[in-house]
Amino acid sequence: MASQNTAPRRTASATATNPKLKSTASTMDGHAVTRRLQQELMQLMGAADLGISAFPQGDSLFSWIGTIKGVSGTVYEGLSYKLLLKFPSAYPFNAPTVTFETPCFHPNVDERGNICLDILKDKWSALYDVRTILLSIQSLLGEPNNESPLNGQAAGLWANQEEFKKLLLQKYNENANKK
Amino acid sequence: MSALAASIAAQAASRLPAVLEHCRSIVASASSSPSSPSTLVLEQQRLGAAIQAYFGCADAADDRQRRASAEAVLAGTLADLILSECRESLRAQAAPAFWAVLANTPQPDQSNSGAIATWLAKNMQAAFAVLEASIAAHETLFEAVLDFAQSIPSLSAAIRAFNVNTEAGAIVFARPLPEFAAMVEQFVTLSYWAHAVVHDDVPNDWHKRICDDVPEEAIEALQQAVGAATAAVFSVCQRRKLQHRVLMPFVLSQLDILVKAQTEAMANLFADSCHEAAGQWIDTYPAPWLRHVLGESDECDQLISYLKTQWLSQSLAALRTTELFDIIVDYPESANALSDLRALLIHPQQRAALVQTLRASFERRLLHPGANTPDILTQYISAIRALRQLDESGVILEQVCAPVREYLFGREDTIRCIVSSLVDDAESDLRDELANTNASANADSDVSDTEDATDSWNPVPLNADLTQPSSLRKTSDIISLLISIYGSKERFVDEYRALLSDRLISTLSYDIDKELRNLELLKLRFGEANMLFSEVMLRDITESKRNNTSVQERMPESVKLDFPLNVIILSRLYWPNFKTEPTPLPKPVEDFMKAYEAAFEILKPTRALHWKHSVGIVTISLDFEDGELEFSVAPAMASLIMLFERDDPWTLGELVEATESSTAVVRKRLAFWIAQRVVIESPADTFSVISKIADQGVPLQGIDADSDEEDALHNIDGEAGEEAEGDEELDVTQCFMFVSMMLTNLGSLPADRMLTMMGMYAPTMPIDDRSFRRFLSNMVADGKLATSGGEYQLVK
Repeated sequence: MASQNTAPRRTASATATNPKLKSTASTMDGHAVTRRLQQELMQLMGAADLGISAFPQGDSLFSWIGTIKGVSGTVYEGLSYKLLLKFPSAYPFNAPTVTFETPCFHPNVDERGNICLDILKDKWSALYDVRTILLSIQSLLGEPNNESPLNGQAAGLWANQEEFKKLLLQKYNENANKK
Repeated sequence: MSALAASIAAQAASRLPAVLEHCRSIVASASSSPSSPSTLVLEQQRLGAAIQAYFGCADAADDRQRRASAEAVLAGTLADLILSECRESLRAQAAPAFWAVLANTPQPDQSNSGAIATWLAKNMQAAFAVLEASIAAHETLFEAVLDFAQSIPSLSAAIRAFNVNTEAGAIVFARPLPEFAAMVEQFVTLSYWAHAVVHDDVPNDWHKRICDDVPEEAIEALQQAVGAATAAVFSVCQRRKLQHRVLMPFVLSQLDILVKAQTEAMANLFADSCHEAAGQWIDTYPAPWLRHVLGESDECDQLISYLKTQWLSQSLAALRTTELFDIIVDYPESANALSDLRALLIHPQQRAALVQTLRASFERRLLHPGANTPDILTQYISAIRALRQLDESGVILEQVCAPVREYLFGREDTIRCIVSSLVDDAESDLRDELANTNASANADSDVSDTEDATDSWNPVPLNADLTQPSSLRKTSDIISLLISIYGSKERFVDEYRALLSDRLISTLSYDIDKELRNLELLKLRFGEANMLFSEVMLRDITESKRNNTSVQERMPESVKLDFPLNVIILSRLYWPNFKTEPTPLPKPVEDFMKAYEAAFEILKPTRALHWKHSVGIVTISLDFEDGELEFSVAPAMASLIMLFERDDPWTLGELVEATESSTAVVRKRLAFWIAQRVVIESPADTFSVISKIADQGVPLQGIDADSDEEDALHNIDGEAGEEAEGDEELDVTQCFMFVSMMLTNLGSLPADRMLTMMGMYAPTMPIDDRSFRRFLSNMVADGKLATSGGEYQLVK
């Protein structure tokens, strides 16, 4: 009898304390993440001349707008693209979700702005930060990975840089005029 | 049927003249003085009409109904006549006789209390004796009337309701002398005096005044006279039921005076239990007096119990409520006052008033810029303890202290104060609290357990704010309450880290036993994980001690200094950031450091050593012509004063160049030496060192010097953005970089929004609204920003 009575209570108290522990753990993380993101923001201040930039979108540090400029010497020279960076609460242990806000005609970017980039997927490491992500995407523009294209048309056209650039500019301006 | 009626009519008719005659004779005898004739005539007319109606009916003897009603009218009229005669007699006789006594003897001068007392004792007694006599006479008269009326049942019923005492009271006191109220008031006061003098309790100022006016040997006689007079007057009042009409208002106001005096006497007596004492006081003094005045009656007992449970209690409760702030200041010495108040809080509105009053006094006396944060904290802690005793549900505490918590939250140095009093060497409440490990170690998990305990469950008081979590209300753990001001432990942990870093850096010895003990206690409170950084910091110190010895052993003799130089090796990631300032060091020290670095890298090949020249503490001794002075200062201070060894005097510009720092920084450091009277500025912007200590005069050991000294040692870059203190100037480049980053990504923004963003995301760049707007308009003027419609954007 005694064991029957005590056993459920014990489990009840165990389940009662567990969520509490979890919630304190996640808020502690939240604080650490905020601090880390804040530091990253301050570090980004020096990166403006690299053609990359980012800033929190609104009142939350967990969602940023990024801007990258095409590297000179590539077809993307002179173009600038906006990105949306969403940070998970487990950042930097989990990768942020990065998508193009400005439509981008590129072999590794689909029409909804999703990017195929290994460091945002399986190769993610906590050592990366906003700066390295933006630099990686910037260099991805000039050096696409045509092995695993998300945009078949762009991948097919890449070999012919002149044609590619024509179509790219056409699409870029179309979008710019839309606004 | 008709025969019976006829006989009754005959009977009545035969008796009526006799009745009338009797009435007249009674009326005539009752009104020995001529009463207003018009009334009598009127009554006689009414009587005549009634008689006529009666006889009219008697003729028609068979009409019983009409006769009965006529008989009733007759009886009523008779009764009216008799009663109005009685009243008239009281009005004409008893009242003038009573007032004549008081009005005809001239009252003595009001300023002579003794004379008034004597006069009152004599004349009040006489007046009430006259009153008693005339009421008694009327009573006898009225009894005779009643005897007569017995024979006519309807008449007897009509006049039986007449009460001589009530009528006499109403008539006699309907038009009192103008000064009568004052007389009774004085008389009641006197009666309490006479009563209290016997019992040695003399709270009313009559005593003093009487003592001034009356020779001492006469006081006893006076007291006895007053005693006798009051006894006589009160017994008349009791017998004739005049207490309410004559005495009650003055008895109540006398009680009011007594209660106020008694309450006042208890003000600021927090150490004793006044509630009980007040009850005893009532039993000893006012209660017997009340029995004396009002006589033994239920009413008197009720008044006494009301006095005890409500009147004085509420007065005391109100007093303690207004004194609560001071009671909290005195806590725990004032514990008795608190248990009094606890017992006296009966009504819910008292609690509400208490909360309101206390909140107001907190705001008035504590929550203003003039109060020191440690004082506010001390009072808050005291309030937590005291209010917990007052109300263990914690609702009062919660409501009263909400503004305190909010205010503390807004104060910049609150966390620092809390943390430093947690770990300070000096004894403090918080330190005891920390050492008290029995208190809930990990507050938030503990509380939920106690909440489930149903045995001691009590409903939450009505005025509780149910939107607040009850856990906070329940917890009595002071440290948890303080931590909860900020919602998380993080800021405390960070502040502790900064404080610890400060303390570790500024000790020249490697002695950390005390800090280790603190850390262990804090671990219990904040959890091991949160204290990890601090633990590493302490380990750094211990290891530095060992490493320092072994490194120094490996160094070549040639670089050894003639004074000890100890190095603390810190694990960079675990320590707060240090403000680094260019600090030129003397050549031998630099050589020593180079050799140290080499030796260290041999010992620990995987580690690199980066020097923080400006961090640490230097003991220097300044030699003057007539002696030397010792100082323990930050390296930057030392390097500044060492420049004067090379050259003297210096101009501000030269010093800025030599130290490679900004004007503001140099000025600030110089201010320290100037405050110490080692450096003098004369003329402006030219500095030189005094040559003799004797020239120093009295060193400025005031507040300024102290705070500068603190500054001199305080070289940690606190997270609160302290470094901005000395450097008010806005860093334009940094600011523009930040703004351009914001605008690159977010397009165009209004100035307010940008300022909010800066506040949120760049707390290390403190900027006020005015200078930000100035900055923006400068940028627009420089063509770096464009503005349209109140929004700013980058110029491409």
